[in-house]
Amino acid sequence: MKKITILTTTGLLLLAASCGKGDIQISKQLDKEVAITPDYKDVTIPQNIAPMNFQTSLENPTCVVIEGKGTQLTVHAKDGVFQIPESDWKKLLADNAGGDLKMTVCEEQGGNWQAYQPFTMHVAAEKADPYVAYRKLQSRYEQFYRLGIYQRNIETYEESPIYENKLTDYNCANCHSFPMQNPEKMQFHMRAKFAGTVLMRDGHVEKLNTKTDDTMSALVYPYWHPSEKYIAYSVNLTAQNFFHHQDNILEVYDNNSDVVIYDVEKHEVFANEAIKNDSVWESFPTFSPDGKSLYFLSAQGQKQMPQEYKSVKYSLCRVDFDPATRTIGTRIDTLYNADKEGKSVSFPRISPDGKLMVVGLQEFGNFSAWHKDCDMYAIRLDSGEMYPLTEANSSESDSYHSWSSNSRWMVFSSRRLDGLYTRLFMTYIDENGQAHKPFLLPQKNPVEFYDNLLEAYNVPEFIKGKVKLDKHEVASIMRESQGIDIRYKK
Amino acid sequence: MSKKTIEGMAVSPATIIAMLAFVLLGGFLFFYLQSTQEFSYFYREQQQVFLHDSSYIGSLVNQIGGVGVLISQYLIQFFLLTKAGALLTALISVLTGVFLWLAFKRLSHSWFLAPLLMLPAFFYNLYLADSYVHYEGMVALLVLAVSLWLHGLMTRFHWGIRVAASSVWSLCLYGAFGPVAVLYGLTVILYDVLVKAPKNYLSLIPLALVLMAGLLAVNQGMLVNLSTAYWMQGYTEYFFNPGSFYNYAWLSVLATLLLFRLFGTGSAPKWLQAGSFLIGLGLLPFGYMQINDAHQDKSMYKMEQIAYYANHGDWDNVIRVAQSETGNYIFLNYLNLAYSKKGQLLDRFLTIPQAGSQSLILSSSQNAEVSMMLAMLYYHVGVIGQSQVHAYSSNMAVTYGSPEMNRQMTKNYLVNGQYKVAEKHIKMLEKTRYYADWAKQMRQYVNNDKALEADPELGAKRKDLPDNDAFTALYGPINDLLMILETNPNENTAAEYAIAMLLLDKNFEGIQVFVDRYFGKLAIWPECLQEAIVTYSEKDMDYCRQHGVSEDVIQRFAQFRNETLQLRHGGGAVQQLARNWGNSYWYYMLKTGKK
Repeated sequence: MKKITILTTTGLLLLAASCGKGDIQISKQLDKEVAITPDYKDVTIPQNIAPMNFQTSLENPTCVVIEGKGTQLTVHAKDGVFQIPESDWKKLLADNAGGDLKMTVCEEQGGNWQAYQPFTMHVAAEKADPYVAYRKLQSRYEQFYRLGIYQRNIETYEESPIYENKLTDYNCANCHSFPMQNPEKMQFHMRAKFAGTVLMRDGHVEKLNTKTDDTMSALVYPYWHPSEKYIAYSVNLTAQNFFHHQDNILEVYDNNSDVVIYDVEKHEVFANEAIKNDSVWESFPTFSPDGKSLYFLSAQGQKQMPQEYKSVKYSLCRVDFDPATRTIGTRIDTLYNADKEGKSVSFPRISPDGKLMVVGLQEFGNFSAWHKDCDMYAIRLDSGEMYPLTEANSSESDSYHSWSSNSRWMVFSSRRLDGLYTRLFMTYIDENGQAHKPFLLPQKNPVEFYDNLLEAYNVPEFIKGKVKLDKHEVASIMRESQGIDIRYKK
Repeated sequence: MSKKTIEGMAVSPATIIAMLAFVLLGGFLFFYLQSTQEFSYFYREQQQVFLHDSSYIGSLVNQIGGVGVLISQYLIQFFLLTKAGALLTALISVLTGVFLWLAFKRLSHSWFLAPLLMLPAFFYNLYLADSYVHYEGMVALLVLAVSLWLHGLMTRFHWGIRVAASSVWSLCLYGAFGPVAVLYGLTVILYDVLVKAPKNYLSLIPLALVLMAGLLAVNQGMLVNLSTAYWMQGYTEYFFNPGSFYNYAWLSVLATLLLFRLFGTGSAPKWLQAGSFLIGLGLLPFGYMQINDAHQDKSMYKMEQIAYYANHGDWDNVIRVAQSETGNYIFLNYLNLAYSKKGQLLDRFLTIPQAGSQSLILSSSQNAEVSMMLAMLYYHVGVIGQSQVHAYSSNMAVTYGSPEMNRQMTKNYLVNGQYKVAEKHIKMLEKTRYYADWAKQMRQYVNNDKALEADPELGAKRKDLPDNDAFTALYGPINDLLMILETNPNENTAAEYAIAMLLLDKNFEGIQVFVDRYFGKLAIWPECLQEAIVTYSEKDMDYCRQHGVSEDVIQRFAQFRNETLQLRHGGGAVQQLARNWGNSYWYYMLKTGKK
C-alpha cells in the first residue's frame, strides 16, 4: 500500500512537474517526513485564511508542491521560508473548500529534486469571521508599559491598532468585548491613569466611571447581552503573586467578587442575591445567545488569600434573565459542581448557535492563562455532557477562547510554543462538536515573527468586520472628560 | 578671500578655516564626552537589543521617524566598545557642523561664525546626558544639515524644481526621521527668504505639508499629541517633559542662519572677525563644560557607572562609586553586593552607614533603572523568581529591550529549567552583534540538566531553588532568603544576606527564631551574629555558648560593656569607642538605638 502511495505521489508530481514555469522534476521519493515550523501538518483551516507560510530546517534549496482539486502550485523557499503568493493561495482555497490540500516538500541535492512524504491541510467549507481582536502586551509584569488592542485581518497579514496605550501615557487598557462579534459596538477599560470604561456604540464614544458605592470595584470582565442593551460584568478584588520558580510562574486570584448587569441606556447596574452574594465569589458572566440565561462562575468565598489559593474552585452556574423586565432569576442551576467534580471552571463561552459551551478546566482558580493544566472542555447544552477538546488542547495553558459567528471556529490563546508567551491558535469545531487540530495564526515569516515577539496575545475575540474607532477621540475623551458616573439600582 | 585648489577641489580659505574650527571643536567634544558621558553611552547601549534580521529592522522602519531609529540603533550597538560612543557622537556633531556650513555659506562666507554652527550639536549632546532623550534626535540633526545643504543646491534650479523637491523631501524626512522635518520646513522658509529665492512664498508648502502630516498622524492615533508630532518631544520618552532648554538645539539652527545673513563677511572689520572666531572657538567649549556641569544628573551618572562595573564584575570600582552616595538605597544595595561578591559582606556591612534592611535589598521598584539593578541583585542572592520579575519588567520598560536583562532572563529560565523560553531569548541574542557568542555558550544548557547542574554558577543557583509552590516577595526579601536556606542551608550568600537583614532591622525576635532554627545547620556562623545573640541574651551566657557564641566574643562583650560604662561616667572618648568597636554589632546598636 505504502509503495502504491509513493508511486502515485511520484507519478502525480512528475505529471505536475511538466506544467508551468518554476515547476520541478522529482527524481526520488523519500520514505521520510520533514519537520515544518509552525506545525501545520494535518490542520483544518478556513477557506478565508491568509497563506499558511512555514519553513523547514533543510539547508539545501527547497520547494513545496501544493496540490488541490484542479490546481497546483510550486513555491520555492526564500531564506528557508515558503511564502505562498496570496492570490494563488486564495484560488487554491476557493477551489478546494471542503477538500484537502496536499503539500509535498522537495529538496534539491546534487542537481536532483527529492520529495519528502506529503502532508495535508484540510480546507473547511465554512469561513471564519474575517477579523480577530486581541490585546498584545508583556506577558507578566507589575507595571504597565506598551500595550494595545489590535485587530488582525485573518485573510491577510494586516494588523492594525484599535487602541494603543501610548495615547494615554501607557496606562492599562483591557477587557475589550463585542456583542455577538459585532465590530460596531465595543467596550474596554482603562486602569490607573485616565481610568474608566470606553463604550463605543452608535457612532459615539462614552467614558464611564463604573465604581459605585454598592459594588466592590469598577466593572471588570464583560459579556454583552445579544440585545446589545446590557453588559454583564464581574466586579473583583483581584491580586497576583509570583511563585519562586513554579512552572505556572504566577497566580492571579480574587479576594472577593460579584456579578452585576449594566444597562447601557440607563447607565445603571443591577443584580440580585443569586449573582451578588457576600459569601460567594461570582465571576466571568456569559449570556446565552437567546439572551434568556446568564451563566457565571461561583466559588465559596471568605477564604484567606493568597494562602488558601489552591482551595478556591469555581463551579459553573446559571440563572434566568428576562431582558424585557431586567429580572434576574433567583434559582441557581449548577452545571458543573466544583466541590463534587474536583476541578475548577474558567471562561465559559457559548457558541452562537447555542449548542455548545466551551470552558477552561483546571485544578483551582479561574485565571486560566497562568494554569498549565488548563484545558478546554465542551459542554453540550442540551444534554449537559462534558468532554475535553482533546485535539485542541496541549500540555501548556489553553484559554480565552472565542467563537466565530457561524459556530464553526474558535480562536484561543495558548502558551504551547514556549511555555510563556501566549499565541493565537484557531481550531475547527465540527458538527459533532469535536475540535480539529488547531493552527497557529499565520504570519508572513512566522518563525522570525514569533521568535522576535516578546509580547503575548490575550483575549482574542472573533469579529465580523473591522472596528472603526477614532483613537484620537477616545484618548481625548479619556484624558479630558469627566465621564458618566454609573449608578447601582437597588 | 580668493579660492585655492586642494587636490583638484575648489575650497575657499573660509571653508578651510571653518573646517579647522569643526575639527578642533570635534576633538574637544570627543575628549570631553569621553570623560563626562562615557558611562551614559554604555548605559544607552543597554537600552536596545538590536537584531540583525529583516523582521526587526522592518518593525523599526515601519513607524514615523523609523529610519532615524534604525540608524541610531545600528550605531548604538557599537557603544559597548570603549570610546565608541564619544567618537561616533563627536563625528556626527562635526558632520552636522560641516553640512550646516556648506548650506549656510551661500548666504555669506562668514568663517568667523563657523564655531556657532556646532551649537545645535553641542546642545543636543547636553540633552543626551539624559537617557530619556533619544539618540535618533542627534542623527536627525545631521540629516537636517545634509537636507539643508541639498536644498541650497536646489535653489540654483528653477523655482518649481526647488519647491517640488523640498516639498517631497519634507514629507520623506518626516516619515523617515520624524519632527525634525518641521525644523527643516521652517529653515527652508527662512533660507529662501534670506537668499531671495524666486517665488519664495511657495516655500511655505514643505512646512504646511509636514504640519498636515503631523496632524493626520495625531488624529489617526499614530502619535500622541502635536508636541510629539512637531517638536523635540518626539525624540524623548513620553513621560519626559522637556523644558525651554530643550528648544535651544533647534532654535540655534534658525539663529545661526540669521546671523550668517546679518553678519556677512564684508560687514565687520577683519580684526573683529578674527576675534569673534577665536572667542567662539574658546567660549563654546567653556560654555559647554559649564552647562554640562550644571545640567548633568550626577547621581544618575554614578548609577550608570555602577551598572557598567557590575555588569563587568569590577566590584572594586562598584565600591568606589557606591561609597560616594550612601544616602541612596540602590547605591547601598550595590555597595553591599560588591562586598558580598568579594566575600566581605559580614565583615564590612556594619561599617557602612546603613538604613535598615532595605540597604541590602530594596523591597520594591517603580522604575526600569532600579529594576535592572534589582534583577541582578536578586539573582546573586538566589531569589530567581524576583530576579525574573525585575528583569522582565525592566526589559519591557525600556522601549527596545535590554541586552543585560535578556541575558539575566536567559540565565533565570535556564536555572528554572524553562528551556523553551530560555531558547527563545538565546535565539534573539544570537541575532545581535556582541551577545551572540554568549548566547551560543548558553545553548549548551538547553534541555541538558546535567551540564547545567555542573556549571558552577547556574548549577549553584538551581540547588537553591525552594522546593515548594511558595510565593515570592509575599513577606519581603527576608522570607525569600529563608526559603532558600530551607532548601540549601549551605548557601552562604543567602545566609549572609538573611543574617545582615535581621541584624540591620534589629529584629531580635526574628534573630532568635533564626538562631534556634539554623544553629548547627549553616556553613557559616559569623561573629556579628554571635554578637547579636549576646545582645539579646546577655543574662544567659549558657544559651549563648549553646548557640555557637565563642568565648572570645563573650569576653569582648564584657570589655565593650566596661568601656561603655566608662564612657557614661566620663572616663573615655567616644572616638575611641568607635575606633575599637566600630565594626561590632554592639556599637551599631549603641549608635542607632534599640528598636
